[in-house]
Amino acid sequence: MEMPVEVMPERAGHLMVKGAGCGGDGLPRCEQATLPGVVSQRACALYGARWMLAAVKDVLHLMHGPVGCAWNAVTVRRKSYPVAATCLEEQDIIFGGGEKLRRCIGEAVRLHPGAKGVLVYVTCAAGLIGEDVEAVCGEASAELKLPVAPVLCPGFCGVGQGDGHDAAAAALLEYFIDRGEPGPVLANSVNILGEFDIRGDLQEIEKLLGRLGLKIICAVSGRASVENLSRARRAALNIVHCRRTGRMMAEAMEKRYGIPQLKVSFFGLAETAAALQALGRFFHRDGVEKWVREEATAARQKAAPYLKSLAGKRVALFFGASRMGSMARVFQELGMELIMNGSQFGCREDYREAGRRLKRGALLVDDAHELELAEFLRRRRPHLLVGGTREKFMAHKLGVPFLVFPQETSPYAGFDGLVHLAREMAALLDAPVWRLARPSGESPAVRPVWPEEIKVAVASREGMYVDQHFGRAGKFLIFTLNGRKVRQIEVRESNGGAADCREKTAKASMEQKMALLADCRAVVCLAAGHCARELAAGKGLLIMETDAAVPGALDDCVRMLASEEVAENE
Amino acid sequence: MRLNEIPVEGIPYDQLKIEKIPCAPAYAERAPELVSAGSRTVVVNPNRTCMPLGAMWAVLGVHGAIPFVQGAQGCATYVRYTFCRVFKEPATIATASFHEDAAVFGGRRNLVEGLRNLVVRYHPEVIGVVTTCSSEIIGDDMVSFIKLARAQLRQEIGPEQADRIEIVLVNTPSFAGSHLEGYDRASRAFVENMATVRDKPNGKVNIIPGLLYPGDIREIKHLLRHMGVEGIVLFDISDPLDAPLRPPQKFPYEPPGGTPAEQIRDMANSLATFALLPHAGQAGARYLERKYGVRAVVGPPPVGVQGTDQFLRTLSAVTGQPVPESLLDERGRLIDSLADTFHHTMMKKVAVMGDPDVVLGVTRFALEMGLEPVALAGGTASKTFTRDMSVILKEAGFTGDPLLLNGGDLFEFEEYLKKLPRLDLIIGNSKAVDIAKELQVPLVRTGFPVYDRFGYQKRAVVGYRGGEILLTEIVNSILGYQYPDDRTHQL
Repeated sequence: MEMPVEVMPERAGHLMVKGAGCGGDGLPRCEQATLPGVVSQRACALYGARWMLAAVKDVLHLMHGPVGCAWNAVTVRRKSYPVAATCLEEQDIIFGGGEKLRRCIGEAVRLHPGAKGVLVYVTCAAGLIGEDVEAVCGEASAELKLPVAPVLCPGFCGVGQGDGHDAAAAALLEYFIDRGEPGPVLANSVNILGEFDIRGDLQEIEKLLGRLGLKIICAVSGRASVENLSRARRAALNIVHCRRTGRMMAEAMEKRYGIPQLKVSFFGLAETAAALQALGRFFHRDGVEKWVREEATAARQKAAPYLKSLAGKRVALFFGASRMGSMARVFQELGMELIMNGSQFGCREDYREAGRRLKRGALLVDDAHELELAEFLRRRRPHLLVGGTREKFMAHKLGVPFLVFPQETSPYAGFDGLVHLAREMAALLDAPVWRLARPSGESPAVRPVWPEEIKVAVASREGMYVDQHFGRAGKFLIFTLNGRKVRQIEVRESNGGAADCREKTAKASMEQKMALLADCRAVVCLAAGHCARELAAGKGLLIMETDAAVPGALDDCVRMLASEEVAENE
Repeated sequence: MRLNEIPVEGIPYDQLKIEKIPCAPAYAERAPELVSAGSRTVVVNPNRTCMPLGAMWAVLGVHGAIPFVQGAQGCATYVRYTFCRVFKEPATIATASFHEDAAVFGGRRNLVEGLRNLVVRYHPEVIGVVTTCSSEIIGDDMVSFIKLARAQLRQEIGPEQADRIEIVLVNTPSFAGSHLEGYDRASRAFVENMATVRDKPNGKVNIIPGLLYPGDIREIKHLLRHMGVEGIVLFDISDPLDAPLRPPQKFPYEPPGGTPAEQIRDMANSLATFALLPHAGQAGARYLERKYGVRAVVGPPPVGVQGTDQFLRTLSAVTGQPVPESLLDERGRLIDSLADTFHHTMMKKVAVMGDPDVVLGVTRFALEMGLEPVALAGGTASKTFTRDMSVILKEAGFTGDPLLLNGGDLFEFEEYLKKLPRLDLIIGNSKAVDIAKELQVPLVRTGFPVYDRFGYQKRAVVGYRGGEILLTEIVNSILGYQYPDDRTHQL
C-alpha cells in the first residue's frame, strides 16, 4: 500500500492512502496554510469572494485595490462581469486610499443610476495600508441611501479561497438579507445556497423543485439580486447545495430567522433522488417516491449506452472543496473506480464524507500541489482526471484525459444532468486523440529498443488489446523483445483467480501468478490491485497499466522500463 | 437571416441566456462629466493588469525557470488561470503563500522556506522572484532575504548545486505601471543579473519580443532564419507555452524550450538588441546599450508592411545581411492580398484597443488596409503613445480625428463608441467582447489576452505572413458582418 506520491516532510499527513494504517482517523490534515514555494492549486480570499458574489445582480462591484485584482476579477466561472475599481496607485499607498474610495463609490453610483447597492471588495493592498473601509462604506451608504457592503477579503486572509466565501456570505447576510422586510413565511418557497447555475444547472434543479410545487426565492448566487435577497429571510427552507459556500449562511439564517436547512446534492441519480425525497418529506408531499423512481429509471436508461465505456475506468477527482463526497458517489454510480479524491481547501467533514467512499489503496489528498498531482497521474495512470482548468493542461501533457468540473458544456445537475455527464465522459474516454497521441501512432523510426533480450507478459484475452485485469487474467502472452524483434513465444495459463485483494484466495493466487511470471521483466495489464503491486515491487517486476493495443503497449513498456532505469541510476 | 434553433441543443434563440449581466437594468445616459476616465477617480473595466503578470510571463520564457511570487496565493493563481486559458498549457508558478502572519511579520520566512521548498521539490534551474503589492507595501528586503535563502540552500544541498541555480529578483509593485512594465523590468533584471560579461562578439542579435504570442515569436525566428541571422530571443515562450503533446512524457514534465541561461549570459556580446514592443522590453535593451554599447533598436512593432519593412531594414543594416528574395516574395504576397481585398476594407470604421504597442502596430497596418480608425485605446498610460500615433496617422495621410485614449478604461471606450454614427469593426483582445456584443459589430481578436477563442496564441500577426493572417481575419469578419447570408456574396 505504497504512497504513489513523493511527500515532503512538511506535507506529511495531507495525503492518506486508504487502509494504509497511517494512524489517526485516516483523514488528511486540512484547513492549513499552503506550504510556501510549491505550485499550489489554491487561490486567495478575493477569488473566493468573487466566486460567491460575481453573479449578484443590480449591484455595483467595486474592487478596492490595485488594477490587477480588478482585471482578474472580471472573469468568474467563464463569464465576464463588469467591475469598477479604485486602482490604488503609489500615492494612495503612501497617503491612504480612503478618500479615493469614497469618491469612487459616489462616481460609480452616478455612472450606474440603476444600481441598488454596492459591494466593496477589500484586497491585500487595501488591507495592508490599514484602511477603515467599513467606516467609508457606512458614510457612503448614508449619503447615497443604498446598501454599501464591505467584503473583507484581502488575499492573505485565511488559508485559501474558502475564507473569501465566508467573507462574502457575511456581507450578503448583513447588508442584503438582514435588511429585507420581515414578514410571514412564504409558503412552498426555498432558497438554494451554494448553487451557481453553471451551464444551466439551476434550471435543471428548478424543474425538479417545480414538480414538488416549490418556488425558488433566490439562489446564492446563481440567481441573486438585491430584490430577491431581501425576501430570502421569509423562505420556508434553505437548501444547502454546496456546503463550503452555503452552510455559513444557512446557519446564520437558521439562527436569525428560524429557517431550517437541508444539505443535499443534485448531482447523480441516488443523490438527486435522496434530495427530492427529503424535500418531499419536509413539505409533506405524497407520491414523490414513485415519480422520483420513474425519473431515475428513465435517466438510467438514457445513460445506459454510455455505461459500457465508463465501466471499470479509474477516475481521480480533485475539486475545490465540499463536492468531493457527493461527486464521488456519482462516478461510482456510473460504474467507475475512484482511485483518488482530493480538494484544494476541504474541511474535515468533507474529507470524512469523501473518505468513506474510497476503496483500500485509493488516495485522499488535501491541497495537492502540481507535482503531487502529476506524480499521481504517472504512477497510477487514471483513465480520467476531474478538476479545474488549472489542472487540465498538465494532465493532457501526461496523456490523461480531463473533465472540467464545474462543467464547461452542459448541465450536470438533476436526472438529465447525469445523462449529460455520462455521455460527455464516455466521449472523453473514447476520444481518438489519445489513440493518436500514443507513441505507437508515430512513425516506426522512433520505436524504442531495449539493449538485451527480455521477456514481457501481457494480460490479453485475444492478443489484440491489453484487456485483462492482473488478478482476473486467466492467461498471459509472453513476448520476447530483442532489439527490434518482437516475438510471442508462448501462452502461460494461470488459474484466473481473485479479482479483489480482500478475497481469501487472493494471496495464494497472486503468489502463483508471480511464480508463473518469475522470468519476466514486466507485466502489461489493464489494471492491477495494490496487493499485486506490492508483491511485484518486492520481486522487481514492473507492472504497467494500459488499455492500448498490444504492439503499442509493448513499445510503451520499453519506454517505461528505460525511464525507470534512468530514475534508479539518478 | 437568423437560425431559429441551434440544431444540437434544441434551444430556441430567444430563450438563450445573454451572458452579460449589466450593472443597471437598462442603458441610462451617463453623467457626461464622468465619462472621460481623466475626469473621474473610479476605473470601470480596466484595460490593463498589474506588473507581476508581465514578470511571470517573462520568467516562463526562460529554460528551466519557475516564477516565485512573493505574495498571496491569488497573485500566482489568477495568473496561472489566465495563462492556462490563453495558452492551453500548464503554467508552473510557485507561490510564497502569504497569510496573516506574513502581513504582520513580513515575508522573510515565506521567501526563505519557499525558495528552499521550490528547489528541493521542483528542481528549477532559474528562479524569477516576482514581488507583489503586498510584499512591497510590507517593505520586504528582498535582496537580503534572497542572500539568506541562498546561504541556507548552500548548506542544505551543497554550495555547488546551490550556486548553479540562478535567482533573479524582479521588483513589480502592482500599484504602479501595468503588466507591460512588469515584463520590461524583468527584461532588465535578467540581463543585469546574467549578461555580465562582454568578451567576444557573437555576431548575433538579441530580440526581446515583449508580450507577443508563441506564433509571433516563431514568425520572428522565421524572418531571422531567412535573413541568415542568428538571434537570441529573450523570454522565448514559443515552445514552453505551445508545447507538443507526445506521451509518454519525460517525467516530471518540463516544458520544452525557453531561452537557455547561457544564451542570456551571452547577450552582452551581441550586435544589437531589438525591443519589438517598446513598452515591454526596452529597459533590457537600453541597459545593454548603456553598459556594454550593444545597440538598442526600440520598436516599431513589426506588424503590417511598413512595420515589418522597418524591422528588416534595421536588421539588415545591423548585420550587413541583405533581405533575401524569399522574404521579398512574402512581402509581395501580403501586398497582393492587400490589393485583392482593399475594396472590402477601405473606408470601414475601426476601433482598436489593447496594449499601446499592439494598438500602434495594428493601427498602422489598418491604415495600410484603408480602414479608418475612429477610436484607439492603449490600456497602459504611456509617454509616447499619443506622439507615435499622430506620426502614424500623418504618415498615412489620414485626416480624420480619432479618439486617442492613452490609459483610460474600457468604459470610456465603450461610451464613446456607442455614440458614434457608425462603426464596422473592433480589433482588440477578449476584454472587448462585451463591447462588441453590445454594439453588434465583429471583434477581430489580437493581443493579450485572448481566452474566448482557440488558436490565436499559435498564429502570428507580426511579419508579412502574420500580416496576411490578420488581414484574412479582418476581411472575413467584415464579409461575415456585411453579408450574413453567405449565398448573397460569393467572392
